[in-house]
Amino acid sequence: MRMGVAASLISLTIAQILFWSPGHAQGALRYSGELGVIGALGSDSVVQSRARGYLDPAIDFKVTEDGFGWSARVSARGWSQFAEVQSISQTQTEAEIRDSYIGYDWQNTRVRLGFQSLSWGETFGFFIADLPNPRDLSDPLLLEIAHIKKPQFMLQAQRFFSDGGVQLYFVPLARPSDFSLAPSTESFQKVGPDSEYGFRVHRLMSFGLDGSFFLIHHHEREVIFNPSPVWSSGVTASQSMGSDWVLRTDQVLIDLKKRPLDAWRGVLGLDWNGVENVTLGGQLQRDPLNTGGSLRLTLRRTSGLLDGMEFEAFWFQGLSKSETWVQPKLSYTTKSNLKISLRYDWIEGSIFDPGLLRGLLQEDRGLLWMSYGF
Amino acid sequence: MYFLRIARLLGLAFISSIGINSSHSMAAVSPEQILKNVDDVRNPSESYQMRVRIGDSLFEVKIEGNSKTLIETLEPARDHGRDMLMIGEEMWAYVPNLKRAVRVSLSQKLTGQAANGDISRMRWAGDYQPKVISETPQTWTLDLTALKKGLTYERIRVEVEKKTFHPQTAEFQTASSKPLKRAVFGRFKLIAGRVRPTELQISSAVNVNERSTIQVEAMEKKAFPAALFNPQRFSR
Repeated sequence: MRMGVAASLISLTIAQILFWSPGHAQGALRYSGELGVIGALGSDSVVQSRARGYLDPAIDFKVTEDGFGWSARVSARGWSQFAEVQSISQTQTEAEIRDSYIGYDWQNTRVRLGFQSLSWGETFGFFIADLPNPRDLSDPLLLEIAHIKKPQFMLQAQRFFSDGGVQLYFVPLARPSDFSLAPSTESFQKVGPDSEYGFRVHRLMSFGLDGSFFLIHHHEREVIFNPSPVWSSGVTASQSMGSDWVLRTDQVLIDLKKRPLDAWRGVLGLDWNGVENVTLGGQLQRDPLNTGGSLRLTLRRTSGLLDGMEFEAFWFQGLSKSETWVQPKLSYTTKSNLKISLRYDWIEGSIFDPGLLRGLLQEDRGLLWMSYGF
Repeated sequence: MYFLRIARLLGLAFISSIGINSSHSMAAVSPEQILKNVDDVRNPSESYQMRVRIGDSLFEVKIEGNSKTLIETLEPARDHGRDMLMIGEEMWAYVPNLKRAVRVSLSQKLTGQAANGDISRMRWAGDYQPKVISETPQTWTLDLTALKKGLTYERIRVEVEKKTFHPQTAEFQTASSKPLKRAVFGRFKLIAGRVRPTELQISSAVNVNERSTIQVEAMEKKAFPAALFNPQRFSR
């Protein structure tokens, strides 16, 4: 089955490249995607050194230029990985459906049915407010952040107002998150008990505050097995201050039945954009497992000799438990979208008393990406 | 071509009939009226869409009224999807690898030799207080002072041709009148219903080697649903 999906992905991509000009829309259809290879160099036997080739094709269909009327998206991801463990070669191949849906946009209303991912949070790093989607935590450091969220098959409706909106969604059968103790897909088979649903209201205030409130009924997203669904709620907000600063926050209560401090996770962040193509962000994070702070730096070069060079760095420092995660990344992208990236993840913490980084400990590694976006 | 010339002549005749001709003086036309006429030359007053090229970059820009702008990046391929939404002084940027819209600060509007603000809201009337500071038989020179915060430039000095209200040159300045950039309007063509500048050559006032050219490849008047400029819809 997986090989069949993988073969379909490759055929689809070859057909796209043969019959369409890369990176351009053909009438109502547009295709895009990424073809690449990742090399991972682990620091010990826990993290195997390996090479992974991957393909992410997507086709978008829109009836009208502005996206009103019928629209559809089909996207998937396939990869094949080679690793050598104790002189034994291992090959693994997987394929999965990513965001794939059909939808209709009226002037102020949108309805979509199919596999979808929702992004609700304002802050960076741990994306605590993006609760509607389960996580693929089986190997999170090898995935781009967008791929950690697993699309769910859902019916989603949005109503837009001039300064706000309402969003509702219903997932008939939830998908479990991927981690070692997670329930299997077969665990969720009954519509009703195994369904997920929720709503979000959003408002842009006249003084610039962009805020939202959400309430959702969902299954566990964390690396803790809990078969019962829970109710969670939260607020997100952002506000620009002066011309260089943005204040952002996500505050969530995960599982409202817990005691308040056990349920509360919050991130408060401040970004500075005072220099062109430079972003410096700081965040304070409150979590029952660890409280800490993080810094984020992005430098982007858009002209001259280093045109296309980008440096990103993320540093999380736990305060209530001694944990550190440092992730520098250097990328170079040509104008035709050929990209080379180098990244290193350095993670320190106690495996006997883990905190927020409990799923990442002993996962230190260096990564080299080469990809072509089409 | 012949009909175009006739149409232009008729247009000039109409403008003359409402009291605007080569004998204008500061007393005959108020600075506010000059600025409004310059705005009408630069772009349509209502909603419109334009395709703009700046160097290797190609943008599709949708503008609604005086405060909402959606900039979609079409080229180069590596920047495809790095779109930007501006509502008044608030801005969001879509980040493709995060697959979400991120709130960004107002200073992002000012980045690049050709700032995002140069291809977003383009009406000066209402945003700036105009004052005629000099005049020749052919031109006025207006000094524009920002009336609100969050505008791309705090002061603008613009030279306007009296006959046509075509802007000729502009100097973008800080609040203390220190020059930041200089611009030359050119390639006047019939586009979106009237003759407008379709090229803006911008150079840094500090380093003249830093230059960029904004070319308007297409422009059309178009009405958009309000939901197109909603931050939640922008998140996709």
